[in-house]
Amino acid sequence: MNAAELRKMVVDALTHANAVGISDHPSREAFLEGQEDISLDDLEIDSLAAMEFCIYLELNHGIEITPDELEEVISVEEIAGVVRKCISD
Amino acid sequence: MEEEGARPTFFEQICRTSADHPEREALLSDDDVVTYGELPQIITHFEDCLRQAGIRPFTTVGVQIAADIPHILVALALLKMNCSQATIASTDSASRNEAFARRLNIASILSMKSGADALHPTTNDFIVTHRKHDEVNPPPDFSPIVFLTTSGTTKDARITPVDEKKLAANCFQWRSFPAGSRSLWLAPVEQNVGKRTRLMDIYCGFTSASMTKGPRTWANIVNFINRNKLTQAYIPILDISGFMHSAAQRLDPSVALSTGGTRISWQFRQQILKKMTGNLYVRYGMTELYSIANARPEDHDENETVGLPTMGVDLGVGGKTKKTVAAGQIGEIRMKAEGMIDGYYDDPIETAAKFRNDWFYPGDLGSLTKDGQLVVHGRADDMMILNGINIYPSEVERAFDAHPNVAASAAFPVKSRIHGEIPVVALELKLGSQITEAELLAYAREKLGMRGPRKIMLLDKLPRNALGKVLKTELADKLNRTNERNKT
Repeated sequence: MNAAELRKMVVDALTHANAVGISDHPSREAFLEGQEDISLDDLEIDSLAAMEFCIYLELNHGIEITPDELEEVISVEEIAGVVRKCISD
Repeated sequence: MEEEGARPTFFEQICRTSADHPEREALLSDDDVVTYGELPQIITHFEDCLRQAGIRPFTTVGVQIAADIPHILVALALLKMNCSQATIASTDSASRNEAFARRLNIASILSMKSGADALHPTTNDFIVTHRKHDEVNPPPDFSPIVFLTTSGTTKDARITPVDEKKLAANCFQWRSFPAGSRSLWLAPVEQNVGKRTRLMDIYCGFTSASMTKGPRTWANIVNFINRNKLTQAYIPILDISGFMHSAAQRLDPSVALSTGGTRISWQFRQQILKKMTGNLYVRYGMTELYSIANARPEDHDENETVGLPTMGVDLGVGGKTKKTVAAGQIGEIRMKAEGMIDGYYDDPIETAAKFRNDWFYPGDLGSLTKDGQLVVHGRADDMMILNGINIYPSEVERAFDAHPNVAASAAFPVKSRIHGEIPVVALELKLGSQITEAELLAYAREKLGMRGPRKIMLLDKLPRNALGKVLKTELADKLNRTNERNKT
C-alpha cells in the first residue's frame, strides 16, 4: 500500500466512523494528495468514533488497532502513521 | 389413546385403529392408497419379506428408500420386528453413508428395486446389503430406535435416538388435533421431520398423504389438498418462499398451513396471510423433543411469537442467576417433555452440555410474553457482545426485514480480539432493488444505533439447509475468506 492509498483508507475509515467534519473539510482533497495535514482540533472524534474507526479498519482491511493507540495523536497524518506502523509490524 | 401408563406399540395402535376405522385411509398418494383396515396385513407382509431377505430382529437397519409410502411401510415393519433403523439418504454420497453406517453399527442396508410394487412387494424386490457389525445383546426392556439426525446448522449433524416408546409419547402432543386429521407433509421422508411426522400420523390414526405426481407448484399443491380433502399441510419455509410469487390461489380456510424450522419474520407471515391462507401455524420444534411451541393464526404479530408451549411440554426461560426471568426479558430456553431423548448417540460431551438436570437446553435465546407465548431470539452462540453491548441477531434481522428492499437477512458475528464480536448482516435484496451498501448501513445506524451491523454482505441467495435454516457458519467463512483476500 502506497502513501496515497493509506491516506484514502484513513479518510474512508474516519468517514464511516462519523468523525464530524471530515467529509466537508476544506483540506480534505489536499490531504489526500499529500499536500496538507488536518488537525484533529478541526474534527470531532470522540471515544465512540475512535472505536468505530478501529472496527472499520479491522473488518475491511484486517488491521487491528485499539482506540488507546489513537489517544495521543493530534492530526489525521499522525493517525495514518499509527496505521502504517501497525501494517509494518 | 391413553393419557398415561404403558403406551401401545405402533403395531398394537395400528391394529386398534384398523378395528375401529377400517375404511379410513392411512397412507395415500397419487398412485396408492392404504386403508387402516389393510395396514396390519401389509405391514406383516413387509415383515415376512424382510425376514426372508435376512433382516434379523434386534439389529440396526439402514433404510435407503426415497419413496414415501414404501419407506413408511418398511419403517413400520422394522418397528414390529424390533429392529432399530436409520435413514441412509439417497442424496448423500457413498462415503458419507458408509461412515454413517459404520458409526451406527448398521447390520444391513435395505433398498427396493425400481418398479417394485409399493404395497405388495416380493422378497426379491428388496436389495439387502449385509454388513460386518458387532453383535450386541439387546437389553431386557429393548425398544426399537429410530435414529434421526439433527439439522446441523451450527455444527456437524448429531444423531438423535428416538425409541418407539418416546415416539409414541410424542404422538400424545397431538391430542389437540381432531380425530381423523388428514395431513400433507412436504418435507421428504428421508429427512428426520418428514419421517417422524408420517410415523406419528399413523400412530394417531390420521391420514398421511404424499404428492407423487406432477411438479410441486403452489397450484398443484392446492389442487392435491382439495382433491384429497386434507385438513392440514406442513410445508418447509424454503418451499413457501419459492411459491410466494406464483401463489395466485388461497388455501381453503379450513386447511391449516404449518411451517417452521427457522425464524419466520412478521413481514413474511403477513405475505403468507395475504396471499396463501389466514390459517397459518408457525412451529418451533427440536429433533430432541419434537414440537415445542406452535403459534396459532390469532397469535401472529410483530413480536414474531412461536406461540404457547405444545401440550405436555414444560418450557422455561432462565438467566445465569435466575432460573426464570421476567416476561419480556431474554434468557436461555429450556424444555422437557415425556418424549424427549435422554442424550445424543455416541456424543457424551454434547449430551452433558445440552441435557442438564432433566432439562434440555437447545442453545436458543428466548423470552416469554405476559400471556406465556415464546419469542425466539436466535442461538445463544450467535449472541454478539461488541465492546460490552449484547446484540441479538434477531433484533438486527427484524430491522432489516422491515426494509422495503430486503427479501431476507441473517446477522452473525465476526470474532475480534479487540472488540469481541462485530455484528455483520448478510442480505438478500428484492428483485430489481437498487439500494447501496452505504444506504443500508445508514438505515441500520438510524434504526439500531450502536447495535447495528458494521458491514453489509449483499448476496443473491442466503445459504440455507434443506429445512430453510440459514447456514450462518458458511456466511462467516465466506466473509473471512473475503477479508483474507482484502487484507492490507
